[in-house]
Amino acid sequence: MAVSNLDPKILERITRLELRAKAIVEGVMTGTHRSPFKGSSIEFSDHREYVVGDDLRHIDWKIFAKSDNYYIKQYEEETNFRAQLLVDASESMLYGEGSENKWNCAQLVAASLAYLVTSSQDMAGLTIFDNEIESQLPMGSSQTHLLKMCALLERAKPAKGTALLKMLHDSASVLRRRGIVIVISDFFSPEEEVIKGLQALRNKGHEVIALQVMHRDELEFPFKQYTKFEGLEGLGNVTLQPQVLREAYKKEVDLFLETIRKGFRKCGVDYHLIVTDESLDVSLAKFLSARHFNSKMKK
Amino acid sequence: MSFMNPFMWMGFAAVSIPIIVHLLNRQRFIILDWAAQEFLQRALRKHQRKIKLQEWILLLLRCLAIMAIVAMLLRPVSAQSFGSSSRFRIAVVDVSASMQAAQGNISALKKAEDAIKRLLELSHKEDRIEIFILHDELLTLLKSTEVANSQLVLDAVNSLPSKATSLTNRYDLITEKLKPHIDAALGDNSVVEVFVFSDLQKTGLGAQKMPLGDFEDNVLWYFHDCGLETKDNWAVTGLRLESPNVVKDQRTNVQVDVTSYSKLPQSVNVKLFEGKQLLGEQKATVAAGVKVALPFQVTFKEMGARYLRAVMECGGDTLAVDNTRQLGVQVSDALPVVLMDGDPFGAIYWRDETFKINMLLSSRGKKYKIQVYKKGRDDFSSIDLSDVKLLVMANLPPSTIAFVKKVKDFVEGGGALLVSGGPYVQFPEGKKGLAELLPCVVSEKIQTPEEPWKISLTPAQHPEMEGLRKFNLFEVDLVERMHEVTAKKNARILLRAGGRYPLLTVHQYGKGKVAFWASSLDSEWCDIHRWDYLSIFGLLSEHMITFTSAREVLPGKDFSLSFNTFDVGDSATWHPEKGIGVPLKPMIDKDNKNKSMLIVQANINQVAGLYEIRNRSGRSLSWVGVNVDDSESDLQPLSDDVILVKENGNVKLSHSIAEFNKNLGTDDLGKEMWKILLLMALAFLSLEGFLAWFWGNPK
Repeated sequence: MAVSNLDPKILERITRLELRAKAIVEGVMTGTHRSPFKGSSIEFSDHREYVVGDDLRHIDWKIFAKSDNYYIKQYEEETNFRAQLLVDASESMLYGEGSENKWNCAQLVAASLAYLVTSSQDMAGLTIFDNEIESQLPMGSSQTHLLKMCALLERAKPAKGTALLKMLHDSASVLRRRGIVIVISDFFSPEEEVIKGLQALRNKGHEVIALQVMHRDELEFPFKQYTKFEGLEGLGNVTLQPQVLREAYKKEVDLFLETIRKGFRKCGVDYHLIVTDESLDVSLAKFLSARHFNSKMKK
Repeated sequence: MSFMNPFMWMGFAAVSIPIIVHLLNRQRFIILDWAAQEFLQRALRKHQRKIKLQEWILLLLRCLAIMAIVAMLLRPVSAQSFGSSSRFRIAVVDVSASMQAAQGNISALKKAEDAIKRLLELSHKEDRIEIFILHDELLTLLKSTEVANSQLVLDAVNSLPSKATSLTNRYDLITEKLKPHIDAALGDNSVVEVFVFSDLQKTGLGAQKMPLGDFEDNVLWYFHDCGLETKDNWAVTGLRLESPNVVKDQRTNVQVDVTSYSKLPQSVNVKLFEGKQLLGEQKATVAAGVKVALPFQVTFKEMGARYLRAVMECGGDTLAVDNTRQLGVQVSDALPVVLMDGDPFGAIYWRDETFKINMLLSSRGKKYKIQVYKKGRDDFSSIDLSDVKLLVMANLPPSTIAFVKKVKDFVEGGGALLVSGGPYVQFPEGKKGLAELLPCVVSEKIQTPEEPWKISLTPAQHPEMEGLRKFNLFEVDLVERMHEVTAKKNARILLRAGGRYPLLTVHQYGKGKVAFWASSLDSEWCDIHRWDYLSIFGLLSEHMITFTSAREVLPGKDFSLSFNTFDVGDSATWHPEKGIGVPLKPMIDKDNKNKSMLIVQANINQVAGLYEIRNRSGRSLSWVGVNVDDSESDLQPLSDDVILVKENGNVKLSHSIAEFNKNLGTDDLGKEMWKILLLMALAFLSLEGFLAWFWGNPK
């Protein structure tokens, strides 16, 4: 869809999203001119452990000869790396009010990263999914492409359940050229499915970044009044006095987060938790600088 | 275990409150669309049983706290052993009129009934109880019975008379009549307790000055005040004749006293009846705590024993029984009068003072049976004064010691003496006995004005002068001669001459009255010029006779009272004398053709009281209260000090059922457990609060 065909209100919103993304990214990138993303390139950058799915061509056989371990050579990507944004638009992303709404937050994160990628003339693609692929935009690096991505994000309305494993598997099979896959989701699916899905992307040789979006309520369960919790995505209802279950709930959430964090680490997925009430530029900056620092350390 | 507030049992229903609150809370919740439902469900799956258990524990603690509070209000007491001694409990229930005081459905008698039932609840089965009722007599309602025979005892309590049997009660009988019962019980090595259930009001006739007598030291006395908290009572407290000398067809002044025992002003309507015939009606507003006298004028058309009935209508009155008052009246056809003339000339001449008085009174109908005695002609010593109401003396006859004593006894006993001070008034030495009877000191000095003096009425209102002010007679110069007299202390001067000299003076002597004219009524001597031609003197004389010849109905003298309004075969039962249900034998007036007169004869001391009128089949028709002399109403409270005369603590007084329970509990039933229950309630509440906080806010 051409940007010019958009409703002026939507256009205004898109522009606003783009501007907000720009503001966030400018804040993030102040003082650095290098892309924080790494991929195939001419200039060697770093070694890392081999994981299943890595291209065998990048194995540093010299190191294998010395250490009997497989290491992959990494290169500083200088031009045209490909970043695919997978954004979860399932019903569970609807939780939260106003700026703390998870979907709003995910939209902004996706737009910001798209802006970041396209601004350095790299290519970015967008897939919005729930239990199927709702909309998709192929790779592009132009300003118009960025606007199209923003428009796509604006139009998406979370309404259905999630089939995260299927979606990630499908994406893994669809994305033929290796690149960076950024998954933005609350990952409210069984832990093993989440890990398996991302593992599948890794197996295809993609560098995978998992950005988990959660509301503060979902972490801390601060409710006090007797409440009927109606599950989004058709998960049934629970009526209870929240205080009595708060600690148990928090334990469950912590366990979930810890499980997926460990799983991601194990399969080489970069993971960052974004809480919707936190300042997004600070959160992204923290994440990106951590990535940058890690890449430096590896050098 | 006993309970002092057993009516609080229903309070255990309050246990349902936390359950209801719990259930209501389950219906009141907010709805939230929740994304992280999976984690909630996982947590719930793991902790559901624990949460349920916590909820149940909290609910249980709340219920236990409420149960402890209710149990505390029940005031349980731990029963304790009384050793080998059993208890003998005597219950005395006041059934006098004032116990009928009621507010809505609650009467003082009902409160007494409830208190006795409470006493039974607090008694052991092996205890014995004896129940008496008290009014003018102390009578057994239930002989000594084991409390175990609960039905028998309850039947007795339920048979307490619902209507008062007497206006009066005699607290002094409690100590006096119970003594043999108490002694017998003490002899059996029993612990003796006497419970008096009364509104603690002195009542009616002859309220006891020291009503309670001496309490036995080795007996526990419990007085329980069953009176109503609100004592808005207005009563007819007096129905009296201005003069008890009532003559047929002659106007009689009657006074009805209405007294307020309330703190509120009240409008009352008082009706005066003779039998069923309405004689008059008056409305009045009675201020708080005051007595109002309402005057009525009555003319009896028939002679014999009559009864007057004053009935007060008054809203908001808690005690209706004292709103009626009866008065027995003996109406005679004529007053017996004796005229004595001490004129030394002996004969009675047409112009004599005695002749004139006789003529004046005789001309006013057949109200007087006049006997005339003249010195020299008749023997004064032979006069029989026993039935005489009035003795008129003209020219003061010569007195012997015996004669003076006779006259003195007559006046002291209630007879009336009218003395005129004519020219032969003399006070020879040794014959001054009669001077003591007179309302003034009479000098032998005769005052003779140059111009006759006018007679004037004194400003004070005297019943003897009633109706005389309308005559202008007193503007005429009449008094030509009179004795110089000085009124005695407490004497009333009714007429003066020349604006200052006492002319007609009266005073009370013993139960009788004496009036003295300081001048002669003899027109011949013209002391009071032409008095005999002026009808006002006839009226004045008549008044003087009426009001001075008021001879009281004396206690101890037989008195008959006729009830004209009842049928033949009806009976009248006089309770104070004969006890409940024992009828007096009525006399049917056989001479009365319609045979409808019921005559009750009783000693005048005993007439006052309540009569229950029954028809020939024994059905109660009505109650008639009769009193002859003045009496107080029923609500004269006994002060606590009068009851708690003993300092050794064996007399206890309670004004509420709680105090009654306390009095019993502290002495007999061991320690109350309310403190323990209070602590338990607090402990339950604290534990509930802590657990609710701990489980809701775990660290």
